[in-house]
Amino acid sequence: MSEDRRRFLIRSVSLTSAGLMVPSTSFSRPMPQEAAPSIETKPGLIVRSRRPLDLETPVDKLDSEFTPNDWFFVRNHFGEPAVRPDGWKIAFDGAFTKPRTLPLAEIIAAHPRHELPAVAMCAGNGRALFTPKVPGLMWERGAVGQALWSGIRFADLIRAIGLDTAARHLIFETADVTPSPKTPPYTRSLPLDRLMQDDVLLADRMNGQPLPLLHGGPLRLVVPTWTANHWVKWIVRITASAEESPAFFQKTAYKINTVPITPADTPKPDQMTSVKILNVKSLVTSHLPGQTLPPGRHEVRGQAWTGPGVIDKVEIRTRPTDPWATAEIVSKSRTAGAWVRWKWNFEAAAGEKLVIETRATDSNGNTQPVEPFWNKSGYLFNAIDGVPIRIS
Amino acid sequence: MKMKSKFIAILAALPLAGISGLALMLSAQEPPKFVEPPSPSLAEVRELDPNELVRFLDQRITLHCNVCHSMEMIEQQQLTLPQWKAEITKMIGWGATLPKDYEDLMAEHLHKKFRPERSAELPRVEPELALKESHQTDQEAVSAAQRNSPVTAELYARQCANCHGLEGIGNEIGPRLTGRPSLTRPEQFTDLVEKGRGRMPAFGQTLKKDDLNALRRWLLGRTETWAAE
Repeated sequence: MSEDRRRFLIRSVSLTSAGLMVPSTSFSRPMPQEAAPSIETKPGLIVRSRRPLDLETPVDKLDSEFTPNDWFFVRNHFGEPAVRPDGWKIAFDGAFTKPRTLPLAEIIAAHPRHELPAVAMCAGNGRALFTPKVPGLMWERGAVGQALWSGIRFADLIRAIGLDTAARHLIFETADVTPSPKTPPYTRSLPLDRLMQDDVLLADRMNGQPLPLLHGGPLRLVVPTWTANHWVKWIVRITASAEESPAFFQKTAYKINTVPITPADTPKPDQMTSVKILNVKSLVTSHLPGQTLPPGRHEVRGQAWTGPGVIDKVEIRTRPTDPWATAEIVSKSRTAGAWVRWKWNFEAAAGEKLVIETRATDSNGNTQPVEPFWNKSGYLFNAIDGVPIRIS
Repeated sequence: MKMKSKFIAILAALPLAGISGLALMLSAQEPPKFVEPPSPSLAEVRELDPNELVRFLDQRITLHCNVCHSMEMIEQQQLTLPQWKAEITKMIGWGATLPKDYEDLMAEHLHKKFRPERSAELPRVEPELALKESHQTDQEAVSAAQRNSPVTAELYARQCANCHGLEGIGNEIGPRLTGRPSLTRPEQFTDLVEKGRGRMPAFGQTLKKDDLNALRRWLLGRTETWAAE
């Protein structure tokens, strides 16, 4: 190209850049020009993305039975919607006996309130721990939390509204909006037989407070033992259908291989299924990876949870050459869908480098594997995780 | 030909603020103009030297990617070249306006920095800069007067509609506004529109804070799930 043209291109890039505030692609410093929103969360949350806002909980904030609302991890695809809780309505469409729109306040008032503890875990929790690397948000260990959820039984609502016999799935649509009309909106459909079970709630309260906006306020689904992509937030429409949703976020996204694969493999469609149910997993919450401790006796604590069933035991060791010991389960009761707390004591000598490994087993005989179950989207990491600790 | 390129060079040499200033001189009512950076052909881009190419592609990230998401989404990845290509194809399908010509170059550009072999340590965004404790959500109902204001409707039509479409639904240039998170964050909204971002020029000279608040509430009034009075 001509020298004039070349100079024009260079100058326009550099000067427009001055106006454009070109991002620095160095991640050693933050981007001052992209202001983050002011929101009802703690500054210590790990920012995986500012826009849309995705925040991870540091594991030491998961060290109690219930994770406080302002420490709970935040995940959404398109940012929280601009909504007011008053006047919220839900449209019931499709194969309902009588499709209609109902105010949320009326729905809540019409049915008895129930509450239960349940673990909400992002399907992608642990994605950063897979190798080879996969694309997506690099959640490490803290895209998980447990709250005391309160609301009405979803089954009570559906029984009151009435369904056609043709209905097999309910498709949920949400209030959050995509920036571009070409971007598929978030949606999820769940099978009716799961939704009609007693533990599924339409929740409007979280840990005794009105459900915060970032966590779906004023309402969300609570589906214990299922991954949090099913805990649909900001519900505006429920469509009863014979089929599951054909939309991107149901048909294409959130799929996992049922057989082991390597990155070179392309699994066949019949080898793929929807990510649904949590797998058995444990987490150290008393110590952060890389922490330094003085020599002597220490208590290590954490959580363990699973899909169907309950936690049977949590095994633990601090050196790979040690035999597995059994941690003490601290929680008085073990409920399906809730986590149990455990603790264990260990001795460490000066200068040691320890790796705290925990291995949970559930009442269905599932135990955490040594090798991660690699999948190209990085879902459901539950391999035995090692938390390195240095002794001074 | 020489005259034309000289003219273009002069135009390109005006900083954005200058363009805004010029626009203001012409008419106090006109929105600041954004001069779309040229889209050179692939052959021309390949003639840029490595540093120029990096700047060019970084600019394209601002223009085409940062419309919908901030940089962290990109910066935390450690992907192979085929994985980057697949991600870019997916993003274009989702509305990213990156010209087809630049797809492969962009994949190579992102792969250079955000590849498996680079440091395993994940980027940490400083929380103090990222988050503020104070709640600043606007939960007040939008009054009928605010929703129906002909003055605000005219302001929107003149200043925003070309890029953001009728009633804030978005078009190929600007994203959707109704229902989006910044509408309930008065400070964030004002800051964003005053300073501009990517293709959106800075409106700090054109719009007063009262105008911005009126526009924000007018858009809330057009958000389906925002219960208007």
